[in-house]
Amino acid sequence: MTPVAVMVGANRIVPAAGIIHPLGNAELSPEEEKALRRRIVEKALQALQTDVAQPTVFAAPSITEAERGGEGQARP
Amino acid sequence: MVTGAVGSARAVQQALDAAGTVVATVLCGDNYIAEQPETAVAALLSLIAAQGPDLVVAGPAFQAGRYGVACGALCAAVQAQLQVPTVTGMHEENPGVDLYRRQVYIVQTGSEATRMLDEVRRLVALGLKLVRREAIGTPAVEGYFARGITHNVLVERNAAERATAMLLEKLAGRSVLSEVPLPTFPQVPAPPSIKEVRRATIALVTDGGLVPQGNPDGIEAMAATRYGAYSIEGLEQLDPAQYDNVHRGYDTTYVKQDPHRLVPVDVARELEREGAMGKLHEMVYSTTGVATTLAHSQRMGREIAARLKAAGVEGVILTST
Repeated sequence: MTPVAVMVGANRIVPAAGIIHPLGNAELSPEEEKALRRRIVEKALQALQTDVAQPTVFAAPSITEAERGGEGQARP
Repeated sequence: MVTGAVGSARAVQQALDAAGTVVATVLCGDNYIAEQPETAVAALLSLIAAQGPDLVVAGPAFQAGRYGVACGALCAAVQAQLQVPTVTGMHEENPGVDLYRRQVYIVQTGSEATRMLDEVRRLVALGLKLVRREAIGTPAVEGYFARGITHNVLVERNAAERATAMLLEKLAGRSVLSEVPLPTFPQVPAPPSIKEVRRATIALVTDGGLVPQGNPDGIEAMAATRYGAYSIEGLEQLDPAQYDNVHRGYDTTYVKQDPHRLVPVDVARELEREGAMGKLHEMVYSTTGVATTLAHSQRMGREIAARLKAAGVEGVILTST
């Protein structure tokens, strides 16, 4: 959903782990899932400390494809 | 109030011709009504009620801001309290347009009064249709600002045929008009960064539909107009048994199993304890972001931001689905 966030003009955007569970992934172990969630929130805190002039996507390279999981079906 | 037509109401009488008579003209100053709108509208309303009109024509206000807002407020009040149809006219940049176009028929006019009679003729034509309870055409046909109402219409060609025709027009370099005007999203300047998140109060907000069991604020499953504020004071984590999710735009199975997959209270508390953030705000704000109108989103955003600012919150993590 990051392209939508950019289009509507959100200023600090952190990609997360999927529409149906943005801050988790049921397929991971509880420990792995919490660690993933923590990395996303840490990234968000970093974003809040960064000056931006326009909608900016903060890369979250620490999320692997396996962690990202299903996007599911979502309506905007 | 003056009996008969004075000022711009003379143009209304001219446009009406034999179709009607301007029984009276009600007038007041821009500042008077801007400074005390409730008192002023009530006073104008009783003057109008005494005349028992079939139609109230306000303005046209062109690009005059206070005048436009006054016309909109008066027309809305006349319709609601006297059940009398109304029509007014404004330039597209008049602030009265956005405030009242959903309630009142506002005919699009130029910015100045130079073409008064022509503009007023269009107001009166639409007003007469309202009085006679005739069918009102689309905004494009009748020349009023869209009121945000959707009507079903039967068309001869299906969507695929119309889209293909539109594409061919576009390829031929001709202008095409979308059947679904996309909303334009006003740019919001980026707020400055927080110098030290380690000392700042951070709030969690979501449009993913988290609610306490029983949905006490009645937040809609889609096209939300309401949001809720839920306390997490003293909570280390969210107990799944205490929460539900009413969002109807995605499969909520996983966030119902574990609300932290949407609202990360558990790790935010850890980070607070470790000093990575100053304080986690004790209220989580929540609504459903699915087919929510831009107008309601803006209003709810403004209200939530005002409450967070009043509580001393400096930063927000908004989790979205």
